[in-house]
Amino acid sequence: MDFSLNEEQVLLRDSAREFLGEEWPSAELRRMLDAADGAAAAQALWSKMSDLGWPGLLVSEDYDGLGLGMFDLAVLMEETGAALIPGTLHASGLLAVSALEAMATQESCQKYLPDIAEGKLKATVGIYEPGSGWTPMMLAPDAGEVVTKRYVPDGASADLILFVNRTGGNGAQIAIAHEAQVEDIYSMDVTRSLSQVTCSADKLEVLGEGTIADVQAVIDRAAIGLSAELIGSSARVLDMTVEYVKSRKQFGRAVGTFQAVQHKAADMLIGIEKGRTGVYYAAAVADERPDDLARAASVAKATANQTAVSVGELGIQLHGGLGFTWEQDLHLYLKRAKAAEFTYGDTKWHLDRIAHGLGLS
Amino acid sequence: MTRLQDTPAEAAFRDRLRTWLEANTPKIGKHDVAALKAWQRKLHEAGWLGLTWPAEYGGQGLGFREQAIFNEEAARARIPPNINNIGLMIAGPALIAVGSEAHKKRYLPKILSAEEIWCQGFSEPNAGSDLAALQTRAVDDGDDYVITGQKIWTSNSLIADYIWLLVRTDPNAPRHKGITALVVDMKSPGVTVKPLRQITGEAEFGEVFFDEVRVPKANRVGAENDGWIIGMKTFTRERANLSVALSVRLQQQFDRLLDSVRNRDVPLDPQQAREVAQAYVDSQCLTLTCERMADRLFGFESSVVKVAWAEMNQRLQRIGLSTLGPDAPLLSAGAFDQVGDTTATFGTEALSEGDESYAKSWQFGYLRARANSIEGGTSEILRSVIAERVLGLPRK
Ligand SMILES: Cc1cc2nc3c(=O)[nH]c(=O)nc-3n(C[C@H](O)[C@H](O)[C@H](O)COP(=O)(O)OP(=O)(O)OC[C@H]3O[C@@H](n4cnc5c(N)ncnc54)[C@H](O)[C@@H]3O)c2cc1C
Repeated sequence: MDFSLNEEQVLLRDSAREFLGEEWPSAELRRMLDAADGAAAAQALWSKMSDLGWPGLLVSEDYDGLGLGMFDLAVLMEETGAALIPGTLHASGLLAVSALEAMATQESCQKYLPDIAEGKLKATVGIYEPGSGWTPMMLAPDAGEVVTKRYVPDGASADLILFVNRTGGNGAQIAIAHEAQVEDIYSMDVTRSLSQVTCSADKLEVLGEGTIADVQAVIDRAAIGLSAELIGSSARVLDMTVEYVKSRKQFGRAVGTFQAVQHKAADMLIGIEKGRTGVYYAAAVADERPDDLARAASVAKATANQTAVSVGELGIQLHGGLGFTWEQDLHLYLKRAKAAEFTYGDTKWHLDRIAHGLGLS
Repeated sequence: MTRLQDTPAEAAFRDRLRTWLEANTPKIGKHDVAALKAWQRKLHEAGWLGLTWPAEYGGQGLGFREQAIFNEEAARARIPPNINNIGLMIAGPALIAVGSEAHKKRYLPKILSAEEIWCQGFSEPNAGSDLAALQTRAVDDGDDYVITGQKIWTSNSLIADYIWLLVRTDPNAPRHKGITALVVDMKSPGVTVKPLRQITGEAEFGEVFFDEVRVPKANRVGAENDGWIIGMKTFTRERANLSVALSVRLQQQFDRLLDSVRNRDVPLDPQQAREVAQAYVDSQCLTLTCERMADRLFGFESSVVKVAWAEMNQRLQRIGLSTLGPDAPLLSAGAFDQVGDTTATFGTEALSEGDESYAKSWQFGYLRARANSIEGGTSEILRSVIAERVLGLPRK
């Protein structure tokens, strides 16, 4: 095993941190959330990220992308998670790119991936349906007249909405949903938009076929990316907390000298280090040993879920009353963590999948 | 660049090692000192010990990668524990870091070959977590120090040839400034060892009494009154090596757990299955964290993996025992000091559920794991180390 970052990855991480520090400070995030021109702030960030090539990081060079792998993306997404950027990069640069490359015909890839890589086309994918839970085998095998997809990330601002449908048995397809109805479903995580999208079956333009296993692999890659974002945001919460408890004084001393406080901070770090390992491991598996993807993705997501929620909660606790205020960003991190916990499989779902894989159930 | 695959050289190393372990791993009772010494000597002679130690002292001069491969393969083959673990994990690495050339030449080869077993005399009745309170006195007397005092919880002291000792040489200096590190021959006149029975019934550790014991000054490691720094360096190495070695045992334990639950007649209930899956997730992440953080583990960050490992192993043992159902607490009378009690934990042969020592091995594991969050620094102390030394929180 080798988890060290190479030179390019260190550069990617450092430049991303610097870029996001300038372009997406808390004030900018707040402008997106509160101001009338909020969408403009998100769009401005997207253009600048596109200039850096991020939307095409995973897209293969055949389709004018950077042709990098999940490990590189994980390194980047730790930083984008730390900055709580909106969901477009995740939806378009990871979910849609993975789905198209896994299932769409070469012709369709040729048609859409170059524009996605360039950031000109913001794509997203609807997979889950009401009642399917997190299990693609539970998708309706027969679409009926109208197809409804739930939890579609960034559906409101997407230029291209893709549906991944089950076609019966183990079969699946990817299709463009034309003239779709996009309805906001307000998530606890206000930094990310989620939609319910409906499309009539005769407006679906099929781009390719695949299997339910392909669908699960696309979800697993997205889960690894989301886990990377969660570990990045957890690390940021710990940084904020360490700074705060060093300076906040009670009983004539910094609260960070109190052992009860110190030990919670230590637990936050332990969770983050373990979680980061899970993410790097799963990302390396996605790049090099895709046959083992399912279990590795579950390791990463289960750990990241647990770390992010507990770090988010402890961060608020250690800030006292201030941590409970709307002004502090801590609640945004906790809400991100909580919403992400229930995206692409909650902890229980992933543990059950591992148990099944180990022959325990 | 591949991250998961061995390089061709690593793969060859792994192959050779695996073949050797398959042919040579013995089944040994954990109280069979002679057999355990012979096993360690054999490992050493075949070139599988001291992988990262310098070649001039009997080591292999290899990198951490090879050590990690060794750990993985050792777990897979379920090899017996190293009888000289204190020498290999604590005294040896400390000598490599701070010992003189003469000390390294004299002691390191025999640590590797298990010809000389080591123990570590740091803790005292009144100096545990607060180690700087230690009182064992060393009085300057010409070419010797004369030592009087007591150490406690000294693992392997009953079988040890040497003790890696911290003593007070200057009682008037500030606490941290009057401590010195020594190597002491356990056969010196005036050294007495008494076993201490543990909650498992065994006596892995004991008390060591020093009554005017003469120790040549040549046995001093580092300068007089420099012992605190040396002790701290010993600790970071102890925790680093412990974490790495422990991740091996974690893997062994997890595999054992899997074997046992797969062989059950009654399937696990969903909650138990989830607990096992959670243990898989955590042990996987922890083992790989040791590899990921390898280059930082000789610093304070070793505490991160030590604390996580202690809790993980404690949880794993709890789960293992719980899978036995109503028979979980039976058949042992709570003591495990008879030869053969936990024998078959080692060697490739797995215990099966009907086996009497099978239930005992989980009981033993459960009880022994209570020490994990005490030995090598309590988890409370280590969390403070993480907060203050890694995260930079203020001490006052
Ligand atoms: C199996 C085993 C093997 C051992 N082998 C060796 C050995 O080979 N050589 C050797 O030198 N020692 C050895 N030890 C001793 C071990 O290092 C000590 O037990 C340990 O450092 C704790 O010291 P103590 O037992 O005096 O407990 P104490 O320090 O008295 O601690 C009692 C409790 O108070 C807590 N506590 C103490 N101080 C603080 C603080 N500042 N903040 C918060 N909580 C605190 C502790 O965490 C613990 O819960 C061994 C111990 C065990 C269990």
